[in-house]
Amino acid sequence: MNGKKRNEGTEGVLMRKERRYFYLFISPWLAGFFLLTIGPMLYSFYGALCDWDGMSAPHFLGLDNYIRTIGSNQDFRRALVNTLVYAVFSVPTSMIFALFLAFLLNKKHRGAGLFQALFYFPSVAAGTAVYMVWIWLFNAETGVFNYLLSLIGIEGPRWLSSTEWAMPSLIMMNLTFCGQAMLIFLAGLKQVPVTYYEAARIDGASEWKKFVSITLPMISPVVLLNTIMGIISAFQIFNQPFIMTNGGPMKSTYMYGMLVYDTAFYFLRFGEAAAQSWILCILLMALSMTVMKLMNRKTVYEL
Amino acid sequence: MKKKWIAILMAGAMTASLLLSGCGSSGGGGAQTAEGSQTGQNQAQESAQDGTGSASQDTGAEEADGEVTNIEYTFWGNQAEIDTIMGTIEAFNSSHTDIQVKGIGIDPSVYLQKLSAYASSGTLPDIVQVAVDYGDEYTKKGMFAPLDEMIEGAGLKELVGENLWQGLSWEGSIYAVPLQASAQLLVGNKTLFEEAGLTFPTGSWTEEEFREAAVKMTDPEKKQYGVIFAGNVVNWARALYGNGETHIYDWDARTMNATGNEALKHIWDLWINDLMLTQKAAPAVLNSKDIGGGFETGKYGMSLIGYWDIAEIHKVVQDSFEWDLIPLPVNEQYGQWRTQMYANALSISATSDKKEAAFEYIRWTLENRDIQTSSVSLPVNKNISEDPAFLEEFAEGAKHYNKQLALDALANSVAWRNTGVIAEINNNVIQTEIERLILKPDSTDLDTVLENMQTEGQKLFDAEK
Repeated sequence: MNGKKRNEGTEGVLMRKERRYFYLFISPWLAGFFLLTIGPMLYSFYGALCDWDGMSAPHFLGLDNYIRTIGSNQDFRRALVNTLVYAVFSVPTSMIFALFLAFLLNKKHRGAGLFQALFYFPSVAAGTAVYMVWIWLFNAETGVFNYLLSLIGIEGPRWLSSTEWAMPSLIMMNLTFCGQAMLIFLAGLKQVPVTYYEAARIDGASEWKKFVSITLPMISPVVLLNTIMGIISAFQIFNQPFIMTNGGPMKSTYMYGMLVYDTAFYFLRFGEAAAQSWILCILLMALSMTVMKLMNRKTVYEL
Repeated sequence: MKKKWIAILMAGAMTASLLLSGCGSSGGGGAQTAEGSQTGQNQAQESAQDGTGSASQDTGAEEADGEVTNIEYTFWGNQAEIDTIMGTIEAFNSSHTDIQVKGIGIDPSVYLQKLSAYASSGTLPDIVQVAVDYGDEYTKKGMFAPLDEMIEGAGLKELVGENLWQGLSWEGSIYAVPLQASAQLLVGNKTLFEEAGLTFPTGSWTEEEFREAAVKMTDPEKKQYGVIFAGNVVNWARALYGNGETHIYDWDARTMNATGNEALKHIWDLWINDLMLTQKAAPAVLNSKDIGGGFETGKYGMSLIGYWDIAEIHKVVQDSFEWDLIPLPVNEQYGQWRTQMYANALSISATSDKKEAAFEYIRWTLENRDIQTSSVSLPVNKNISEDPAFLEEFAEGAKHYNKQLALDALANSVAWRNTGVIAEINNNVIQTEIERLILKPDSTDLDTVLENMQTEGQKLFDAEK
């Protein structure tokens, strides 16, 4: 009895000691999180309720910024629709492309490592440099794409300066940055037990059947992760349209991020920009939860 | 016990590094000696490269005995410009024992954000570089001190053109002293003029002559155009005939003036409906990159450029064709075309307690010929710009051009605004409507465009009231 009590006592001391070390080691992250994330978030929450020009002290306004944004700001609707369109097309296309590349790289062959690095490289290269290359590729007069199209007798569109083609151009360009999703898919693919494929092969299953019945269910958690990350990233897009099209032509690529930036730094309405950011945050949370709920039914976490 | 202390020290070090990493590399207190100026410049280069965007240098003596007034001066620039301004600061500090200036160079792409951060935290440096298009917004909020008395007292009013003082005024009070300035210009390809059998204009010429020249120099087979406007088709037209009755808005009265504005309608009718869409004498694009480049490609008889483009065009064109500035055309009814002024100016922070010392630096830069002539802009000091010798002064290897025309354009230039509600009207209303007229001409017409500008622009003005 006394021995059991002594053991329980020792375990309690050890656990308390471990807990102390735990909090000690995560304290730098906690400090950064509260100082650099939660703090500014709380201030922006307050700023969204104020008339604030970024120079003088904010004056409390209540919900006026939200009402003005949703009720009378035409660019809000335009930016939201553009961003939604971009997300609807760019997320599935980049996911499919990333999965396709991961599938190819999952095969054992020489140079797989090199190709992994090559496909991942644009994701780590300086974004502006990559965008400038794409601007050159898309150039209506001197660009490579229109030159290649001219070789087969097709007159290429004006790409970034066409209201019809500017958005598809950005969606195409987004495929350059699927390296991160590709690596995550690759990690998921490598975790699928080979025995399942062997059993399927013995049963005479085709490659497509194996992919649909084994691969996809087994990597479904990874698909869910990449989908959520892709949606969040798509809704936060800013650099690409800012540098490549400046939101044009005719606001056809004017994204939500640009709206927030312009409202704050050009129109000097920081309070309204903060309100726009919170609207996006709430939308993303709702969207992510909806996607998770829908996809969780199909997601296989363990067999 | 030992492990516990190691764990505590590691956690403390990580926290400290996290907190210190947020401090950035902007200049803090402390002095650097003159030998430290190279260190300061290296710091400027590193921080410009790593995107933090600021560098500081204190090239003078420490405030040791209370007789030296230390002032801070923030400005924008790329690395070459930062180096040039740091050099002028060093020259000032060397020649003044009672005032020492500490320069804070900031990358242009983040300058406005930094300015807002300074303003909101109440730490605006003593001297702040501003531009014509946004200085009023900060002055409105009480950030800058009125300088009228100091300017009059130092006899600087007559040194600078009246239009520049007006451009840097808010409600009749001057908030900044121009350092250098320039305007937008018209350039012409002499080779194409000659091929079209046209005399290259050097004296006054009319809008009709301009139009005829543009049409004659157009050759669709060669993909050659008489003129390229690009984005200037939106910006220039807003106040092409001045900031008065023909201006697209009255920013003081907060009213739009798009409908019923015959001058505005006339110029967009000429540039867009006639030259771009009917005659095809100008490419229907808003960015020269969309069509493979601008004037430097040699495909355009004339082009609207900024004064600062001259050096870059010269670098690209070299000897491939002859070119020079052209006088701005004159409309018989509305007068000569006027372009936007681009003035780098220096303001003094309203909260600075060293205004006299700050103004002394500003006065020195205005009167110093080397500084006035050392940038890509034109000197604002009339003693220098009106000196006949200045017209013939060109750096070695630089393009020789008709400098008088550039000075005339500057003397005739107009102020403009691009922050706050004016920026919203410029970008979201005027730009969008003109883009629609150029890119989708079948879906609209100029009258509808002007009506939309009037309606939507006025809504934005009214919402601000």
